Amino acid sequence: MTAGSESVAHLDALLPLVSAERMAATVTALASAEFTGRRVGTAGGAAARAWLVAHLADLGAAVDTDDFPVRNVPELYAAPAVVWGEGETSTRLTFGREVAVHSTSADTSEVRRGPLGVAGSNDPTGRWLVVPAGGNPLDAARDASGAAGLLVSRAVDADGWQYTVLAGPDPGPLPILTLDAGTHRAVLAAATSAGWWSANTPLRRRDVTGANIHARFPAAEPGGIEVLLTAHYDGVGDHPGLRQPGASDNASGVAVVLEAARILAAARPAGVGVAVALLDAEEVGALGSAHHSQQLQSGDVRPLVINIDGAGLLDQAAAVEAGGPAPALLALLDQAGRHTGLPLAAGPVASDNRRYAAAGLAAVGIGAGMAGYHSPADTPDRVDPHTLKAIARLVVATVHLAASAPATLSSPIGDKR
Amino acid sequence: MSENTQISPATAGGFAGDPVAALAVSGSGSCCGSPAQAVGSILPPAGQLPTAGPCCGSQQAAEAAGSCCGTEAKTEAVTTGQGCCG
Repeated sequence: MTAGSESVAHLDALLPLVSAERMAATVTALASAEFTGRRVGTAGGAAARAWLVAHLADLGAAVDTDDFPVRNVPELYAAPAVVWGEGETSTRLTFGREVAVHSTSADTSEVRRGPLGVAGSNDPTGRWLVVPAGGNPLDAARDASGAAGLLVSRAVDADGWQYTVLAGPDPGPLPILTLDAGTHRAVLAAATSAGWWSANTPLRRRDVTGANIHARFPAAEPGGIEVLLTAHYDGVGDHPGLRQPGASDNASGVAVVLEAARILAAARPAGVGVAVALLDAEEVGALGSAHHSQQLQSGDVRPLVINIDGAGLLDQAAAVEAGGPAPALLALLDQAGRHTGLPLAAGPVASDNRRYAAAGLAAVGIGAGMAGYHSPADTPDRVDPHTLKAIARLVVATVHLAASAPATLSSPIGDKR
Repeated sequence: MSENTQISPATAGGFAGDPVAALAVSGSGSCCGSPAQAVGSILPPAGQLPTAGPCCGSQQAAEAAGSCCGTEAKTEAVTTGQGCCG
């Protein structure tokens, strides 16, 4: 038996050890009410971090955390109370579906009631102005001095939710609410008659502390390859009265990284060192990876980075986005995909991998689908165990092949089928 | 598992084309996009090479870096309420 075939045999012995059940249990735990959606700077986020630190320590890793400041994290501190009508009729809107607070809204805890108007057409003073579909709320805001607030149209997802986004511009001076298309049409029509609107926008910004989790398993021997497995553990967080579990995004990615680390830590493939970074504050702009990549940039260690964001619902192929000096890493990933039978396709993975790539490291982001993105529908039951298993097998195979790449790499970059 | 998922040793795994295409994913040089957009059965084709510089973060950070968040992408992000990453 050659060294190469021996290594492949070793890998084939490892792959059946990947447990979908164990990963599903991790997803369920991280998505539980105890962790409140894991928004950066919250008690739920801290509790999830403590849980993960203990989990990694159980795997035999040396674990520590690294704090960093995060400014202006949006936090909805109450469900908005929104009622509108024409004359004597009134309709209360459902938060999260029919109405949501725009990410650039001003914070108003008190309910404001006023007549409806059309942005750009009516005197804004005291009115809630409906921005016609396709209009830019920032443009509308410039001409809306004295208005009670703005109402803009927004698409809903397949489950009817207006998904939550934390990253974005700082708030403007006006309250802004987003309406689903049907509500927006009705309110726009009412704005030309005797329509009225009553609402608050309880959205504040908090300066908080984020914390990355670092786990180190035995390093590679001199001349070996260091691999860094990453996934963000933060989520967009629960809203008052509205749970947002963050199962696919990104408890699924964390579960994959933990499972791969478990297998690799036990197997200890020669010539490869494995480290894990579970990152905070991705949802507010990939700030955890920005912090970590800067640290790596100033140090001597230049690992190959494999980031998992979304391992919830694979369709035809896992998306792979690469950056930095990553051709060799892509060749390994290709080989691992072939070995495990997982199709891969170049596609956007707008996540922490971009930070590491921007820091000059070879980095790939792998995304394998999410149901219920950033909404209450991102629940554990919608995370496909087969997808978890497929991605974890891919990661294990990639890292294992990195140790024996010269002997087994039969599909170098450029190889066309 | 979704109905269309095909994961088995019998399935041809790995990249169907040149893996280097993953270094030139369309949109990877901009601020906008989300993993949710990468989950469908139709993945966007590889496109222009990504620009240098950080591609995530706040609007202010992007502007300070002089890269990443172009006017068009920024407007789109604001209009839709979508941010840069995540």
